[in-house]
Amino acid sequence: MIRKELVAASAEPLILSLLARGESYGYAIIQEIKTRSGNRMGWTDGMLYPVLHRLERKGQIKSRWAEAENGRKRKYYFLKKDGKKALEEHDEHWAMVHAALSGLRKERYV
Amino acid sequence: MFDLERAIAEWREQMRTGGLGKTTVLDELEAHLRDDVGAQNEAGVAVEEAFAASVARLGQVDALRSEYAKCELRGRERLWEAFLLLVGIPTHQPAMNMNPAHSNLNIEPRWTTYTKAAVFLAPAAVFWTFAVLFLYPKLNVICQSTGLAMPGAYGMVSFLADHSLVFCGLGIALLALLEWRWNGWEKYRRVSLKSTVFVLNTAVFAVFALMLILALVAAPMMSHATR
Repeated sequence: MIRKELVAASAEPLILSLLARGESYGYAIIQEIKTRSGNRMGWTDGMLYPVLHRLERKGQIKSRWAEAENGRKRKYYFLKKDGKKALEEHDEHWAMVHAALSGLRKERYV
Repeated sequence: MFDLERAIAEWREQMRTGGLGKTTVLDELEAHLRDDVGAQNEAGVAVEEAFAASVARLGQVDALRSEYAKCELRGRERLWEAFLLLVGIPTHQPAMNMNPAHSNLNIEPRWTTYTKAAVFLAPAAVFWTFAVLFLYPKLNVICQSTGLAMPGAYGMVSFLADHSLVFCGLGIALLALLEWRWNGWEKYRRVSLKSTVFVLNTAVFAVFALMLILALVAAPMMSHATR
């Protein structure tokens, strides 16, 4: 299992990246993240929603209620311009962490 | 026999008593539960077990509540929200029960917005007409007979009164232009119209109040003058 703090830190960039591919709703986002992480990101399902809420407050994403094919209403989220900018920043920062870590790892085996 | 609807209603009640009371939040979590139960059920899990598992995965109400509390509004956001509320726009509460066939449920239909704006503007229009036709000439007479100079701001009132039709026409022309030429107007229509109505109402109320105050100040002087 991935540590709780790391899961929390990666929640926003993961959600933004997913939404960069098109609008989606909470349940689908959770399923996608679970599959992609091989179920090792210990998310309690409910934790995603406050994060979505926070991103919306920050103006990075927007939501709308719409009816799904089965007639049930769902809250769909999509990326806004500020969200795209935030995502670029996240990408940059994660790449920096990754580069530093992998650089150090290589040195260990020299 | 397990009743999913009842179980969901009970779960909502539990969330509410646990301090998570916002309808839209609960609606969203409920949609999640239903999706999750449906998916598990398709995979062969009985509804009752599926529901219990979904609720467990959703997490404790205390944890959820404290997470939501972290993204509450601060300072300026709170002010903006309060203003929208004053104007009559409930925020983060998309209109769910309007016209479901409409492509975007969050945009109020045009006629609703305009009808509401007209209705809410009606009292202000009545007060304004009353003030201009009756109150303002009366005040003029009072001021003249007491030798009290009309404060300059009242000159504005007479200017606006003389040209009310022009201003109305300009406003309507502007709205027509926006409807006609600007595609994005739809998104801002409600908030702009309601804010304008709010500001106009406040202004008319303020003018009316000022006129009354002036009348109250001038009236004793008039009785001195006649004595």
